[in-house]
Amino acid sequence: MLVETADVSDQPGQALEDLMAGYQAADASAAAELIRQVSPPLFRYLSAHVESRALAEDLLQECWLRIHRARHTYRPGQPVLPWVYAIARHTRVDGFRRRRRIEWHEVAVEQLPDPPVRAEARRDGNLPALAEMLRDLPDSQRDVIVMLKVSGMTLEEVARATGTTVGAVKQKAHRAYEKLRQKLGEVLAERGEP
Amino acid sequence: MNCQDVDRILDGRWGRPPEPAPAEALVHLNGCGRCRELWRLAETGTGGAPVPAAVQAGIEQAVLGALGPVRPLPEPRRFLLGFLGACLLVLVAGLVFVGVRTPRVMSIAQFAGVSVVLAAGAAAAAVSLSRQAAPGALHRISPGVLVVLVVASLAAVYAWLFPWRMSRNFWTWGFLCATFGVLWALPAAALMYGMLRRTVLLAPNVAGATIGLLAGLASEGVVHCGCLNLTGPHVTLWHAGVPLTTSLLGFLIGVRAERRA
Repeated sequence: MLVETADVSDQPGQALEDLMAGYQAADASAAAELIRQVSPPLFRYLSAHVESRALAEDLLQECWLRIHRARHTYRPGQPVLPWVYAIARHTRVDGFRRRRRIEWHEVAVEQLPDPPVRAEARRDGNLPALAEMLRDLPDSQRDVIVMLKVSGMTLEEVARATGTTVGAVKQKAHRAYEKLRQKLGEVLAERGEP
Repeated sequence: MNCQDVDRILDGRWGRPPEPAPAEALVHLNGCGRCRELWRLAETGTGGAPVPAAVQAGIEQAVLGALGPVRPLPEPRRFLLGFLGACLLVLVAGLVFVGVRTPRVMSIAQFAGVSVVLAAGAAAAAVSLSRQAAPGALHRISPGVLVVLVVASLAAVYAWLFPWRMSRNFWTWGFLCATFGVLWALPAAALMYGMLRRTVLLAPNVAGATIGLLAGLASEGVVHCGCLNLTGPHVTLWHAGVPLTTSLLGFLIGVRAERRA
């Protein structure tokens, strides 16, 4: 489950909190190490929500600038990842709104944007990858699944990051499971499997 | 075991190192292709390209170039005490200005019922706001839901405890009560906004609604103790309307602040 999150979750529990405390105290090595540890999962989280890699890179940079400006709001002893992801989520939503405003002004009404890539059975018969499956989920459900799956966060950490309750996160996750299951069922039916 | 049980097992596995599926889950997974594939998705890696070295270097350069020590925010408890203090200040000032007149004419149930809802709502809103002050805090109740819940509870208590008959000058008297309530909430809202100036509010609209609710409840406490019109329609519409209006105003100000930012 956590193959891709080794960069953060393999560290001892206190490591990120210590690095964050060092970052607040202007310790350059702690700040650099924090960036090295947190950037990969953050990049995967942002990539799961945008169409292009370049956009994800831009969002990652903007996210770190916001983290830097808001670093005094981290309270020592609290989990670091929910704090980081709360800011990342906000950066992503702001970026989406900004792009939508720009598109609204620039794209002619007749030119509708391409529909998102839908998860379908591949020609080679293999099931679609998780990233493709996730594109079919509503934004809030995708957010929750990506944080749980890609970043290896717990339900409570996701609740903190999204500013909701654990119950609300569970509900969104279960709805997402149901949608993924439905989609997988369709793909399996196409392949003639039970 | 059914598909919902598989969901519950998945819930408990997020954020933990991979481990084999329990025996009872394996029985279900062998018979249910959809759950089997869902489980496979949850267990396999997600891939994803690494962060390009140039981007990583750019971030490090930007962050390290502007590095300086910062003082972390105070504990949520200090924010909580500050918010409650601001409410108390506005309430006491209002009671001195308007006077405490209703305990003599209200029944104990009426006075205590409304007071309990006002106090509990203010405490819950203050806790919620103190947690919104820093990103990544855990909420027991969603802040947006809390605003609706408190205003609805107040309206329900008013409608239930007060006699349901129309009073004379329903509109004039009501407008006076509501206007006073909203205006008296402004100093409390300004004080609370001042306390939050060092924070980063990720959802200014929700934070604005919570500030409005808290200030409105404090102001409504003054109206509750000072207004002698004790008819159900008056208190339900115009008194419960004070925190509703201030919450809405706070929400709109938050939306505007978010757009400008």
